Amino acid sequence: MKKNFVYIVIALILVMLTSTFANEGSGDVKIGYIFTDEDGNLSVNQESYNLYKGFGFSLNNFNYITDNGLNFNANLNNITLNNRNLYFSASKSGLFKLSVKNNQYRRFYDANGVYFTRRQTTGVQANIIPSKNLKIFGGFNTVNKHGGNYDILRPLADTVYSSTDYNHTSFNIGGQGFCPYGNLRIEYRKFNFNDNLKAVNDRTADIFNISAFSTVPRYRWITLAGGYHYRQDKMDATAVELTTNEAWGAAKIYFPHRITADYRILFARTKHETSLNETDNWVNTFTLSKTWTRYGGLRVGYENRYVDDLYAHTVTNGALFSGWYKYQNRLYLKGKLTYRNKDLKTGTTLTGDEDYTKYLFSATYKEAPWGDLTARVDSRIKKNDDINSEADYTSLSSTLNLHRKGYGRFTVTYSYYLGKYYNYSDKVSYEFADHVVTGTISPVSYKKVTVIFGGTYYRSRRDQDIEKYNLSFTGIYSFPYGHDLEVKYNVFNYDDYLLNNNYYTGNFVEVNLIKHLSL
Amino acid sequence: MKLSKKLIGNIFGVFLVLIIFFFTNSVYGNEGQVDDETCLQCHDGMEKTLSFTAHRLSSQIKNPTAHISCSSCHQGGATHIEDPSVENITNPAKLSGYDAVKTCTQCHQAHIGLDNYGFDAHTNQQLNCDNCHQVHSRNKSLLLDDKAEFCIRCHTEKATDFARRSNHPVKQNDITCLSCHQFTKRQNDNLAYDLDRICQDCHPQEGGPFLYEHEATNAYSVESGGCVECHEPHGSENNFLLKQKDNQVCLQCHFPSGHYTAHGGIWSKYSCLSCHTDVHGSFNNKMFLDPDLPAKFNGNCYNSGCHILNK
Repeated sequence: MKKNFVYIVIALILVMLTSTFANEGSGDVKIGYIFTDEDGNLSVNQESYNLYKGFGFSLNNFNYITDNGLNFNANLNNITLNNRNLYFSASKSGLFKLSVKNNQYRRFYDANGVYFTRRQTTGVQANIIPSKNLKIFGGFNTVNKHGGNYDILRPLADTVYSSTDYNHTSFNIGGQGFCPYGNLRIEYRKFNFNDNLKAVNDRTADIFNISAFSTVPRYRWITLAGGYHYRQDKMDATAVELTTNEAWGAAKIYFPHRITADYRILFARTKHETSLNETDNWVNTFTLSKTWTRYGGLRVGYENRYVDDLYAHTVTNGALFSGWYKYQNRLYLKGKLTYRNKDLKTGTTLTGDEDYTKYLFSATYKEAPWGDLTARVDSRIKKNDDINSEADYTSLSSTLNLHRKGYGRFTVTYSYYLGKYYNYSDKVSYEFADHVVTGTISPVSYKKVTVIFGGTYYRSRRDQDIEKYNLSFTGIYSFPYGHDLEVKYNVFNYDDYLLNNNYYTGNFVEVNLIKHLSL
Repeated sequence: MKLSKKLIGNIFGVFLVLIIFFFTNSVYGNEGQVDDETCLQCHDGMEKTLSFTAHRLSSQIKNPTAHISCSSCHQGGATHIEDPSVENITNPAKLSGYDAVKTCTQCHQAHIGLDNYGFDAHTNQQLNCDNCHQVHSRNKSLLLDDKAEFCIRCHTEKATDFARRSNHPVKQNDITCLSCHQFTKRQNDNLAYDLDRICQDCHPQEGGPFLYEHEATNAYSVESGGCVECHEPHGSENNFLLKQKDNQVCLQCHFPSGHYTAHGGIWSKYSCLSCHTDVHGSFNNKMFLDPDLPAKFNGNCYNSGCHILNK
């Protein structure tokens, strides 16, 4: 892997040598310190999992372009801390792009922060465009996750901690060809999963993808597409294999008067080589839509899915309706209703027949110089007659965006989530009702001073009783010659009113000196 | 022949260096009908809004490898010179639907077709490139607003989804919407058939295959659903993004009456996961029981011979 980096660096240096650096660039160098003060159970508040105290150094929004069009971008955030998030790219339009990323994320599992996992991701992606008609791409990505986590064993008093240590590496290479009518894409991808603690979990996957899209010559109003996907997952220690062969096709026809019809078909066969269980999936989807350019549109569709395995066979029929309307670029209305019915034809399944209904409606009003107001309702209802159960989920949400030149911006979103589960036969039920408000105020800068306020409040009631909030404040003072002093303050609070030891308070203060680069 | 990792690395490196050098003169793009200097006589300074982007005008670059000029995107320059009215030159930002997309996909060909535009959910509402991107800007990926998590501009309720108790770390800037919603991977907006594979990219340990599969975790199975059968991917009020709390997740499909009555209902107070630890799939047991269960419960159930673990 190190050798690849060397080659990439050599390639970049050689390219850079061919260019004359008479050029332009900009970016922000940030140096500062993060102070933390935490009290309570570190594992309950997810927003503060990945915050660290210490000296921070960052290069943000860096952009440098040479006069031969070679473009370097970098976002190197918190290079000196364990929550570093690094991204670098070099590109030249019409020739190549190379990007490198590295980041890591920590998650706590116990009150004192002794048990935590860290996920580290490193990836390189490159594409080269040797000619107008061809793009070659490839890269690799590796994820390492290690540390201590826990198994859920309530109400056993002793939480059982376990360890995790694995590497997940992927590698891909492919090409995409273009012609005036469409394109063809071929890709090979390989995954390697190595569990450093339990070799029995080691596995590999080989994936091959080919897809094509084209309009029909002389009948440009017809577009066709199709593809084939092969995937084989193989366990190294055991003989377990899972193989999927999937083929799909699609056609879209643009009729006069902005009427379109599209049809898609998919067939997939997934075979479990050990249990010899073979699952076939057939999916057909047909939709018809009509658009009125300045006003909106309507869409109706039908979907059919057939699933067949060794033990059972189900057929799902679904209907889709959606519509949208806009009035003078001010009022936008959108609605969608999806209904699916899964019918067990032969054999038995745990859940049996299933009805699934999902609907969504949203309305947005925009007033150009002021902002916009959005209201939205989203609901899904799942019913299983055989086990006599019903799960309902509804969210109501509204957002207000206000922005006024000379004053600043104010955004607030409030959502109410309501969830219910009933098993009527066994009289088991569960309910939750969550309220969440989140918002920011960012007035325009006044005499070299910029401030931003933000906050989030969360309350979960019914079968649990949790309250948490976060307040944030950012203040920036601009000095001459492109220097800023930035102070950020974040406070998190978490209370579980049913479990006594689940509380948390965290204060985070960050002081940074920022230098705006102009090269 | 089995290629070693070292050999693959070397091939990749040499390939990269060679390609960059041998094709540095490849030039494509759309040559303009009117030269940029003519445009900039009136639209002075507009070239600066492109200079830090991939759309930097070719006339401003030594040895360009792509032809990019004002008239690559703005058609009708010749007429516009005669009569400089906004009516007689195209502005892709003011076109709607496919008409706008056609301009961008002259060069961004990979985004036309099933990859993105054509069968994507956004298309159905006549949304186009310009609804998210602004060409004359210096924002990251030329997004209209790179200050916020971008998709939340329209999908406003997601701002609060990610603020719930258990959440994917989008607000923490550790992942983005595009980490999961990859336009280039799906060909069908109505189906979640391949959803599990997206989850497995980051959570490979749960992905299988297992000797004993839990059908609810497989989107291809007759039980269908996959990961989202039990998990709420954006944010949830429960640990591990679970849709229901504790045993309720399992009780959506299972009602193990024996557990509530045998031995005076002693097991009814335990979490299902106390014993059925391998809920995503198991190599040991078709009931997904912990292989260390005899040790965990001091062997009472199994060593006594009353219960047999592997059945």
